[in-house]
Formats: sequence, structure tokens, C-alpha cells
Amino acid sequence: MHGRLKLRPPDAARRRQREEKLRLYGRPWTPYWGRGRPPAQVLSLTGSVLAANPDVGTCWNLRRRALDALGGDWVPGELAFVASCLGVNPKSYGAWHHRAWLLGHARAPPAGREDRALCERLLTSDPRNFHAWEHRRALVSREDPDSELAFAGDLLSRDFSNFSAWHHRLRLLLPAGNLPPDRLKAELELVQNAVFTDPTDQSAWVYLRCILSRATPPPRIICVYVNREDATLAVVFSRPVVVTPDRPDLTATLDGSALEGAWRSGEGRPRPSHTWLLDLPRPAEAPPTEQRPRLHLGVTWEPDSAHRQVTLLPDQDEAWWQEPIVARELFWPEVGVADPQVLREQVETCRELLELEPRSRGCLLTLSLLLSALDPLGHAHEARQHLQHLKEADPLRLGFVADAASRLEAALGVLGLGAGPGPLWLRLPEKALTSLPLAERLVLVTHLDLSGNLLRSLPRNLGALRCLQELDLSRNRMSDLGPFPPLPRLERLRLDGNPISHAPALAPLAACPRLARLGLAETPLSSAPDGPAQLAQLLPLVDVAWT
Amino acid sequence: MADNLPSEFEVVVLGTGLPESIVAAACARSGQRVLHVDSRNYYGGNWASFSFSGLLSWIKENQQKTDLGDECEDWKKLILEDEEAIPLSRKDKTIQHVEDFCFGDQDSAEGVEEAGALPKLPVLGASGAKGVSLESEKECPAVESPCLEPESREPELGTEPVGATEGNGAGTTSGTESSPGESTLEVGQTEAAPSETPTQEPKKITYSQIVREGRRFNIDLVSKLLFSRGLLIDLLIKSNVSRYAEFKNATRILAFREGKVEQVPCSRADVFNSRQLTMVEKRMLMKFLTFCLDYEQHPEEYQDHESSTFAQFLQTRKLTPSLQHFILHSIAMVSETESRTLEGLQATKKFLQCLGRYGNTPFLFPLYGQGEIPQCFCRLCAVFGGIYCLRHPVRCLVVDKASGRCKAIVDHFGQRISANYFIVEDSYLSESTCTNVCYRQISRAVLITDQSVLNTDAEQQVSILTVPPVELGKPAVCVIELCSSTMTCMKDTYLVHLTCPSTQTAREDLEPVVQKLFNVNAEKETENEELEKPRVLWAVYFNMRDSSGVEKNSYSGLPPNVYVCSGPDSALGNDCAVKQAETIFKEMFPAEEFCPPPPNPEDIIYDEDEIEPEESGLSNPAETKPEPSAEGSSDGGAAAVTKEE
Repeated sequence: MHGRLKLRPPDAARRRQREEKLRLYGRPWTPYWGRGRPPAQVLSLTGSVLAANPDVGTCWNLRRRALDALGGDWVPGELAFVASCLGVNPKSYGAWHHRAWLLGHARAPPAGREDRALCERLLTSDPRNFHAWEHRRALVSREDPDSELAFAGDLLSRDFSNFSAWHHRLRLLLPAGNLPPDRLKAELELVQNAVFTDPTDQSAWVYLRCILSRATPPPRIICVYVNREDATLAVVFSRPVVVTPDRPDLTATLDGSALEGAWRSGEGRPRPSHTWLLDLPRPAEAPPTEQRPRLHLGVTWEPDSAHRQVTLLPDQDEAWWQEPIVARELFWPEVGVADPQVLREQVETCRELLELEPRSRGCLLTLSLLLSALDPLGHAHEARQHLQHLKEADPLRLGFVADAASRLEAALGVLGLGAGPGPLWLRLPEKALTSLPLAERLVLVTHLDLSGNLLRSLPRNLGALRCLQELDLSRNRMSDLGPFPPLPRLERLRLDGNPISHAPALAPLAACPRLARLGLAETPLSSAPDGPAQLAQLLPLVDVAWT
Repeated sequence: MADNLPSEFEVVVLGTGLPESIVAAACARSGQRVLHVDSRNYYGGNWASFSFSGLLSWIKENQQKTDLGDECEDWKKLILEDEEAIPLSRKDKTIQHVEDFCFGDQDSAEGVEEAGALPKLPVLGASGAKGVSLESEKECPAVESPCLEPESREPELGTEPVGATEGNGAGTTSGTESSPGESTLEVGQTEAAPSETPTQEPKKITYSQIVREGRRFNIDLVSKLLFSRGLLIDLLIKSNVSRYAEFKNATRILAFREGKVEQVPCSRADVFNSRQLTMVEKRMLMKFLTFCLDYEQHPEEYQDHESSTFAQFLQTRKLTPSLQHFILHSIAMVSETESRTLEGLQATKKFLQCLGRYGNTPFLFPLYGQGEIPQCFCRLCAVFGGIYCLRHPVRCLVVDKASGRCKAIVDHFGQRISANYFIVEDSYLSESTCTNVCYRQISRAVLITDQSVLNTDAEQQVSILTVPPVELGKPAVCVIELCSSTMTCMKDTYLVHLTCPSTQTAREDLEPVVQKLFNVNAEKETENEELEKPRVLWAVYFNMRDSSGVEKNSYSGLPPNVYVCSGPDSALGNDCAVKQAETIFKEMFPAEEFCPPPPNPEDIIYDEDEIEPEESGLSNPAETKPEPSAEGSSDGGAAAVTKEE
């Protein structure tokens, strides 16, 4: 036909390109390995491969070897080469690694301007290039943060849904410790702009929670408990720690002289744990009450040189030291660095937004956390309500919300606890708990009622409950006990109405020395043919109530 | 030289406006032989852009209402007995009421010449133009502009691949897998272009400077922007015509409220960065805009207001007055009194959907002016063999009495050129053909000013501003302000286009708006407020005929194979022209694809003989694989094979 264009088959051009590429890759690699090759030749050979595909790690390695052998200042040229490779694949691990290596090797470290410009260029085209972010962070770590803040701010002004840019800001601001009030105010304003513009975007909410928070404090001793009958000293920490038996950071003294013996974890395994136990020397024969010695115990935690003392009088069976509870620490460890006035302002802003957007999940969560941090008992009702709405608004994260609600309930329970001596009850029935946080704060609790909740397992740090005598877990979701720690004083345990169907699931209970009664009514195990018999074998001393 | 023009074509297109050019390109692309002529000496018809001096001569031409007396009727001899002639109009009557004003010292500009002007191109003056143009045409060949010559097709394509494969390499190879358009349409980043030195105090630009720098101006007769998800952008991408043009994002949307110009936050980033909105306003605005994006999914939100106007609907949405103003006039850009809720929602949705494709506003502007776009399509047409002739008036259409179809045209040389299909721009039709047609008018004003209507830190801004009507029943005025980096005006000036559907003459329609926004008192020192406003250096008003929306059957006596393209419409986008072109093309060639992507230049076979070795090579890939050593000479090798054969 006249005037029609004649074309090669449509894929011909592409195929030719691919063939050319394949030919390059398919070239035998042996020449590169030759040790005797002059470095310049290795550089040009690897250069041609890497320019086409910067992900050939072998070539980068060969290149580094060749560069080491090469004299002269090759850093600038090599930096330019890496930049061109990053143009081919901006997320090439090999190229970024090579660049970092180069900067480490430069005799006079080049001013980071070019590298920053490179990062800026790459981050403008792809704000999520984590390699570029990491590189940039390394570059600017020692510099004035203001220009970097402006840079992150500029990226945010283009699109504030940029977790990396928020994070960059946070990293720049936080090392300064507590933010000066005017800076904090500016940041909060930025966040407000973002959350009011788009409350569904979580990045700004996350940043808001972070900027109001502080670095998690280092672990410290919150409770020292000694029991004469058990002849055990228990030290409970705010966060899990490791105490190595041969070189412990934790030392104890009895009447001034160091106590020998190995610390063991309250969880029954040598891992980071809230509770650490030490056996006291036990007199061969228990003396009558009036002749019992007065025990003076001291505990020292090396990392913060804290020294705690407990004195056990002759007429006492137990003694303890406990840190007074700071309410807002219980709720959300991260929120609460800021001045209460700032928190109150944020609460007002969130309430205002919530009126416009009653189903904004970032807002509901942040508001409930802020309220609990401000005045937990006074705002308990409102905080519960927000969490309930959050469950409805965000069905995909039910578990997360349920855990947050559990924490709220547990914390409120801890705050309402009396102080011994004598029986100490903690009643948390029908609270829809899915987890039991803050067990490390329950050392003195003797009776714990968790019936009618949604628990599937118990936390490992349950081992902190040194005084627990009665535990009611009836009508939960437990199919086994999991890593149930040995509880020294546990006498009665109710597991009625839990889906426990195998006797071995209850095996950990054998480690509880005083367990006398076990309730297993309405469990699958009670109707299993050989269930009772198996259990009797496992727990011969326990009186099991099957109905 | 009239003999040079072939006398048989498949498609003859009269007029080089946007719709005609698109049809011409589509026809040539699908392999038709196309003749594309224009009686004017420039491309684009009423879609054209002019340099300053070009615009001045255009104004002169349109102000002189000379009638061309009936002259030689020689062409009538060419009409056979069984044929009938439909005479075409000889004079363009689409422009009226042209008034130009200079607010500077015009006298000082006398004798000043445009710098770098070519030695007096033959300008088609209306008076006595006949003789001049005929003479000049004898000197230069009728087939215009060497780059569009069909003969030059080969070097054209031969050089293209180099640039195309290097620049667009990624786009052409990986483009097909994921959104080919996005990667190939390049938006020009000319932020730093002409004004590098910050001007502390605004320089006084004089008229003589404007004349001297006249070539810096590219003044559009129609003022339009491209919606970044509009039909024209889609077509530019699909047909790959986008490679012939560069674009710049409109940088901001403005509103005129309570006598002040304000920036409208329309995208998410704008709302986030805005300092004028309160937190609650931000939320309410975002909430409403998010709703508009998928309003169809929430009929319960607007059903009760379907019968009321969009403005009334906005009042029910807890939006502050300023937000209502922004949405109604600057985002939806619909009438306050007439537009219903649904119309407003549709317009808002369209605006929002266009956001973010190329930037923070929904609009693109072609560098060097809107007049580039028709020329880009002409270029595609020429690349695929279309023949171009400017300054080529056509006397009549020749209709076969028996079949009632148009057979040919007779041009001003009396040459008869036959074809199967004829595309005629509306202004070419004579009054007798258009007796029943009722045209609308567009009021236009073009101003050259010395500063922007809203000065900010960033100097180079492309702004669009809608000024709501002053009185009821009047249309809103669309103002587009272009900065010098759009390559449409000289440094330190702004080019301002005002457009609205006419109710009176252009000046009567638009002067009130001009007076509100600008300082038109030339040199007088007036109140401070006036001083802050930009000074108008030069202005022109004119009315342009709006032939869009005319049904084909309202033209009397047109054969079925003659298709009429309308001139520019008053809308902001170009959808109307693209739709029209596609409809016409589909009617002519229902089986052909409309402007398919052109082939990769590498894949075009120019030399028939070349096919042979290539084909055999493909069937046996091992042989064609060049040796590593002979990389560079593989082309030469292929050539050698052909020679041997």
C-alpha cells in the first residue's frame, strides 16, 4: 500500500538491546579474577559492567581491591562513578556501600556538599529511598541541624505523608534532649497542619506521639522483696534486664557481707527478665519465731549505682521496698515528657478535630493516650470511650487497640492497689483484657481475679508476682499455660471454662510448690476420657475440681 | 509552481487550527495522503501565537475592514456541467472590535525595530495584499517551511532516533509495561530560565523596549490551559506528539475576593502549607474536596440539593465564605447563579483528578504558547507524509451533482485538487452556507504588565485567576497570567490573558475587570493602592467568533463528505477540539485507530532492500550477534551485506 510505513517486527529493537545486555553479562568472568591484572584494567572492566548493572557485587569487591592497589587520589573520580551508577539504580546496595567505603577512605574527607546534593536529588525523585536517607543521616550527623530541618521541612511541604522525612526531623531534634518550648511549639504546629489537612494520614500522628515522648528510661529497680519462708530475695526491674551469673551487675549483701550464689531469672530461663531471684542461706532447722534473726539486706544495681535496702524483722515473714508509682509512666511510657500545659493544649486540639472527624483513628488513639498521661483516674471514662470508638473505626487493628485498652485497665488497677501488708486483691474481671501488662508492678498482690477476659496466654513476667496465692483465670481463651513461671505462693488456680484439652498443657504447674487446688470445670479436658487420669499423674498433689 | 502540488489526495484539510491539525495528523498517521492548507501566512488560524510585531500586524489587518471586491471568476470555468460549486469565504470575519491601547510613550518607540527581526517577512496586509502576496509567493515555493516538507522526511526521522533513544530510552523500552505516558511527557523545568538576577526595584519597561524585545513574546489569540488529565494531554501522550513540545505547570490558582487577590490552596500540599486558613478551615476544605473526588459513591450527601445551585449546596457544607468562594470560582470554576449541584461536583472532581499528575496544580501550559500545539500535530502529519501549504486560499468546493458528494477543491491558482474527504474550518465557509448558523462570541483581552497580580517570593509564576461577575447575568472572567519563563513574554513583564463569553464588545466586557486588577493610569502618580497594582503597558481587546457547538446540519448545502471544524471555544481546556477531531476521524475512517503511538524510529524501514538481511538475521539470531570487537561497525556490516546483494 502506498504511503504506509514499513516496520520491523515490533519487538526487534528491544530484543536487540536485550541481546546486547545479555552478551555483556554472559561474557566469561574469569578474566576479572586474574590476580595479576593491573588495577587500571580491572577498573575499566568492572566499570563497564557496573555502569550497566550496579548490582553485581563481585565487581564492586574487585574494584575495591584494585583501588587499594592503585596510587594517587582516586576518590573524586570514583565518587563520580558511583553517582552515575546510582543514576541507573538509585537503590543499589552495592553502589551505596561502595560510596560509604569511599568516604571512609578519603584522606581529606570531601565536604559533604556533593553527597548531600546527590541525596537531595535522589530524595526528590523518590522520597522513600531509604539508602539515600541513611547516607544523608550519616553525612549530617555532626553538623548544624537547622539546614537539615529545613530540608526535611521542604520535603514535607511537598507531601507530608513522608515517614522518612518526619523521622529525619525527629533524629535531628531529639539528641538535643528536651526541646526548647518555642521549637516544640513550631513542631506541634506543623503536626497540627498535617493532621487537620488529612487526619487519615498516620505519619503525622506517629510524629506527634514521638515528639511528645522521651527516650525510654534505662531499666531500674522498682521493687525488692524478701520472704523468710521461701528464703528468696527477689529484685524486680522496670524493664527486662540480663544478670550474668559470673559477672553480675546486681549484687546483694546480707548484714553487710556479700551474698554468694547465682542470680536466677524469675521466668525460669536465662534471658532478659523483669525479676531476678537469689537464694538466701537457709538455716538447717527452722528456729521458733521469736528466735529468728533480724535480716538486713542490701541490693546494688551497678549501671545506675542504685542501692536499696530491706530489713526483715524477727516477727516478720516478708519485707519489701517498692518504688512509688508515677501515674503517667504506667500509661504510655513514651508520652509525658512535655509540660502538662502543652499536653492539655494538645488534648484541646484533638478534641476539636475529633468533633469534625469522629472516626479518625490517629486522633482517637492520640487523644486517649494524652488523656491517660494527664490524669488517668479522672479521664478513665473518656479514655475508655475513645478506645471503644477506635475499635469500631479501625477493625483491622482490633488486636492493637485491645492491647492498648488492656494496658489502660491494668494501669488503672495498679493505681488502685493498696499497699500491704496483708492480702492484696486486684480485681480485673470482665474487662476484655487481651494481655496482662504491668505484671512487674504486682509483686505484692495476693489475689488476682482475671476471670471473664479474652486472655490467650499469660506474660512471662508473671514470675514477679511473688505473693500471689489465688489466681482466677476462669472463662478466658487459654488453651495452654504457655511459659507459666513458677509462682512460689500460688495455692489456688481457677481455669474453669478455658479451652484446655490436653493434660500436658498444664505441666508447668508442677513447678508451683504450694499449688493445692485447681479448677478445671467446663474445660474439654474434664470430658476427655483419660484427662483426669493423666492430670493426676502430672500433678499428684493437686486437688482438681472438675465441676 | 502550482504544478508542483499533486492534484489527488485522500483528505484535504482547510485551516490549521487545533481540531483540523489533529484530524490531519490522524489521517496522515493512518496512511492517508493529506493536503493541509491555510489561507493565512501562519499556522494555527485563531489558535495561533504571535510575536509582538506579528500581533501588531494581525491587529492592523483585522481593524481594516476592506472588502475584497469580486475579482476574477476564472475558477468557475473549471466546474463541469454535472458539478456544482460551493464558494468559500475570502475574508476571515471571525475577529471583531479590535482595539489596542498603549499606556506608555508610544512616540519614542517610533523607528525602533524588533531586534533580530528578519528582513521584513511578507506580512499579509489586508489592503493591497493581493498583489504583494502573489508576488512573494512566486519567489518562495508554495510548499512551506522546509522542516515540514515531505522530502525532508528522511533526514527528519534519521536524526530523530538519536535523541529519542538517548533521552527517552527508558520510556520507550519499559514504557509499555507501566503507564507509558507519564514517563514520556516531559514537563519543562524552566524555573531558573531567564531572570537570574533578582530585580530590587521594578524596572520601568518602556514601549520601545517591548518593540525591541518583540520576539520574546508569543501572544496567544486563544488563552487556554491543558488539564493534566484532559483529552488533549492523553492524545499528546498516546500519539507521542508530546515530544515536539515542552510544558510548564501552572504554579498557582488565584481567587479575587473582596477586592484582593489571594492564592487558593487546592492540593493537599497547598492546604498543609497554607498560612491563611485556620486549622478547622483546612479540615473542612479537605473534607469537602475528598468528598468531591468520589461524590458518586455518596449520593446521600448531595441528593437533597440536586435541584439547587452549587453555590447554595456549598452553603450547606459548613464552609466559611472564603472557602465557598475558592471552591465555587477557582476550583469548580462554575457560575454562581446557573450551575446546579451536580455540574459543580463534576467540575470539582475533574479539577481534583488533574492535580498531582504533573505538579501541584491541574494545569499545564505549553512553552512558547498555545499556538505550538496545532503546529505539533501538523508536524506529526508532515512526518507521515502530509503536504503543507500556507498562504493558499481556496476558492470553492466542487460537488458532484449526481452523488451529492464533494469531489474536489479549486485553489486560488485555479488548480483543481480532488480528494475523498474534506475538512473545512468554520471561518472558511461563506455567509451563504452559514445563514442559519447562530454564533456565539468570545471576549478577549491581552495585556502586557510590569508585575504580577500577586507578588510572592517566587518570581516566575503561571497563575490562573477567575474573577466572579460584577453584575448578575454576566459571565465570570478567566485571567491567565504568564511569566517570562513560559517563553511568551520578555523579561520583567507579564503577559495577561482575559477571556469570557461575550455579552457585549470585548472592551465593554473586560475593561471593568482590568481596572480592578491593574493600574491603567499610565504615568500619573495616583493613590498608593493604585501603585501596588501592576501597571498595564500595552493592551488589546477583541471579540472572537465561537463556532463550537454548531450542529453540522445547521450549515446549508454541505455535502456529507465535508466536515466542519469549529474555531476555539471559550472553555479553559481543549477537550472540545479533541473530541471534535476524533469524531470526524471516526466518521471518515471507522476502522482505523485514532492517532496510535508512532513506531519506534529505529523500527522504521526506509530502504526496502534492508528488510531482507534483517529478516533473515532475526530468524537466525546467532548470526546477527556482532562480535564483541566489531561492536561499532555492526551498522557498516549490515550495509555491506545489502551492497553485496
